[in-house]
Amino acid sequence: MLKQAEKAYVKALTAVRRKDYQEAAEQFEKASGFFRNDQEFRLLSETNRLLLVVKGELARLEKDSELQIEEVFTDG
Amino acid sequence: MSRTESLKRLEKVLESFLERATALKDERLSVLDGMNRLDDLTRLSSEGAKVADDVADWFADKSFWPNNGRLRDADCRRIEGILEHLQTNLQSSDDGSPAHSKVLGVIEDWLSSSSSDKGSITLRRQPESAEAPEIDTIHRFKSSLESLAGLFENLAHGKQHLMSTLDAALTKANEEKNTEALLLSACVIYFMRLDNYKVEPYVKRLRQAEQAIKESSADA
Repeated sequence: MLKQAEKAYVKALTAVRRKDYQEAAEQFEKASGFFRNDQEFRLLSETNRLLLVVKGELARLEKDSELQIEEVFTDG
Repeated sequence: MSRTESLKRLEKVLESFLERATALKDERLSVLDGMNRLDDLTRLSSEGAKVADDVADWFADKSFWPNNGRLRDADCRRIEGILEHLQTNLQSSDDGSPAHSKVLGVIEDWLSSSSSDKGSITLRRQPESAEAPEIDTIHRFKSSLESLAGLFENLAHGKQHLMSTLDAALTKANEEKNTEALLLSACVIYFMRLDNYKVEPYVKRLRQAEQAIKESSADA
């Protein structure tokens, strides 16, 4: 039988291949206990985490700019 | 350069890095994903689930095998280990059905063949899928449905209404360029349409997400 952490690492990488970065982050998290000293694992999981932060920040900025446009229209 | 432009550039760099890093492992990932599926079936069988048909599908589906039809010795040993567990589980829950007996026979063949023969078992079975390519799409669709069910569970968690789940799915499809979220959104929209909900605004967002995904693939 396979270790759950190994399966999670594989699921994380296949999720990255599908560009499902949120799912990848969840699977990386499940695998992190077992692979915490694996440099490649850390590089990939941290890059994925950073990408999600960047995407979140971009989404926030886009929402802010939408709000500003609405305010401009409201004020005439 | 504005903050947004810098972040978009960084987003592309990170996505590109992850894509290239994982692309190098494509063949390996395919084998490991196949082993994951077999392991999942073995765990299900130990909980009493009937998995004979799924195991037969696993043996028939060689899409996860490397192109030259050979597995590493270490992979063969790991698969053997899983199959031994599965064999024990299946023997203890034998329902006497032909499918059950056939699967037990295939497992027995695998376990009794030498490591070097395992590739040739794969190659002998390959023409079956070549003559019936629709089996591959059936399997892919089935696996996609399972994956969509999991995604739906995640997105619906804590939500009060299907519309909120649809909103989350469309946002995920658009922002993360996620094809599964796009498919799920389309299913939910059609479901709601059959229930006479007004779905036009969601259809518009679905089209936008689809366009965003197409553009993202073209950029890649």
